[in-house]
Amino acid sequence: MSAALLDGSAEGIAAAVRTGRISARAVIEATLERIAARNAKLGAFTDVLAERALARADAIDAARAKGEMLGPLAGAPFAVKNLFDVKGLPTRAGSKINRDLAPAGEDATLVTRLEAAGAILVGALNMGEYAYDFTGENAHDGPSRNPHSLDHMAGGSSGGSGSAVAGGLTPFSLGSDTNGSIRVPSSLCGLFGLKPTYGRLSRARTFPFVASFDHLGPLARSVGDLSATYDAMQGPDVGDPAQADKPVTLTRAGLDEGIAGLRIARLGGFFARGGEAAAYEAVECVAKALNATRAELPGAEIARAAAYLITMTEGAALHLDRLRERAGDYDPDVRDRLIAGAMLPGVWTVRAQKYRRQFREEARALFRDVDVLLAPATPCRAPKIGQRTFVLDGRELLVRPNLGFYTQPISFIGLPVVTVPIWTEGVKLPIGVQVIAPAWREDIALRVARALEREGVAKAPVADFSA
Amino acid sequence: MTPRMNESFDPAALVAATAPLIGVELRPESREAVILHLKIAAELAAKLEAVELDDHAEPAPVFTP
Repeated sequence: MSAALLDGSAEGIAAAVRTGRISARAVIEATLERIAARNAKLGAFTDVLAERALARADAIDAARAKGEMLGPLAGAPFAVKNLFDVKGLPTRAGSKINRDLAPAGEDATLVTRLEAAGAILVGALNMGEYAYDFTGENAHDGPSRNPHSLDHMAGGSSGGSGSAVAGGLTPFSLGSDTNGSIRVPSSLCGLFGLKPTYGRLSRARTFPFVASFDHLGPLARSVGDLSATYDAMQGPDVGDPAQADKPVTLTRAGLDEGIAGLRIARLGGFFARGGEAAAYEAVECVAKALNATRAELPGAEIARAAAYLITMTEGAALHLDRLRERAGDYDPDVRDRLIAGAMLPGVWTVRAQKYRRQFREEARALFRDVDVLLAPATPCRAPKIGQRTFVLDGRELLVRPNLGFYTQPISFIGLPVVTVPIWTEGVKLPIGVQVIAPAWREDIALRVARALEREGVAKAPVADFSA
Repeated sequence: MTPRMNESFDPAALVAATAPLIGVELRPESREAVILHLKIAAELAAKLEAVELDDHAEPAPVFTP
């Protein structure tokens, strides 16, 4: 089993399995060995599903031996943030409290869909408690570490999802993104991450956080994998009340169509202040490669404030009973934000929801003149694990609520985003740029990311953290 | 513009009064952090309050991007 195959893409593994160059069992055995060897350093996995994964691999190998058609992701290993239901496991969602839940009786819809395409679930991944986090640290399971520099954060709340993929444990993973929890770890760990349009992918059988903003999506080391896994996960599901009635729009076949004719602009204003130079240099690098013009979304700062308030209130409403009964079992940093959220005037949240509609109109108007918007994904590269504050624009701020400063206004109105990882020569840690498309046009964001990948502007290598 | 939250806002008093209302027993080690998060929220709410929204500015009932 060559290391290069495991360091490559899910599509590459699937091609090797389909053509019989390697068995699915060999892929999974090698993956389990990697997890065993590397996870102690990374803190990415909280559960490893060896028996289940090997059984699935054997079923794929048996199907091939019988001459059956294999799916587009045949034999490709993946893992999911531990807020996805996995049959037989309590869905812990990064918490101590949820470990007392009964084991899930069924997998989350997106797990089922990926396995229907041939992918093989190998485990569940560490995350910030109840997804109220941008650091990837966890008070109960320890931090997910950044494979590119182990004493730095992976980013959160899908920290294990970033750590596992950048560390070469799986070619892709699934995460959730309420305010930036796919895009932040993608930025900090140097990965491609897709947050689809709000309402696009089913959230059935995943543990919620903020119903107004919760999204699910993949993180990967190649845009082809983002596209292929996204395509495999689309489709209606009555299990998610927020899923929109939209036709499946496959992206993989048109991924290499290029960017000719696309009007691309970088966002100024809110998105051009408050961060460190690295964030703007990364946007500049992408903007230059795409010949981008400039655009403004003047309501972004208020959008971010509104998203913050809705998150506090909806998060508190979800957790109030547990806060009454088991306050001592929460991560204190999560608990205290949730308690504060339960104390906010209700009129603020209603006003924030009204503003959401107004800001959506502002974005729709802008998208009449442009097809793609560029913005930083995070205000800085990965902070150190345990770092509680940083200084942005001359103000000392808490890291945990503010790493998603630039992602929050975009998820507020549910726009699809691909985060692309940008590197500076001589600097170990990457930083991401958001490629933002109009609602329901994931295909455009993916095409742009693919063009950047092909040009070598964005890339997502496996980290070497063996030393 | 109608005056909104004024400087006499006292987050510690809000915390003390609201904790029994919502039935949450506040641990001593939580109090300062909850107060800090309320101050942050109030700062952000002030930005939102500064936006003019007329009587017909309804939220999207079932939100579709």
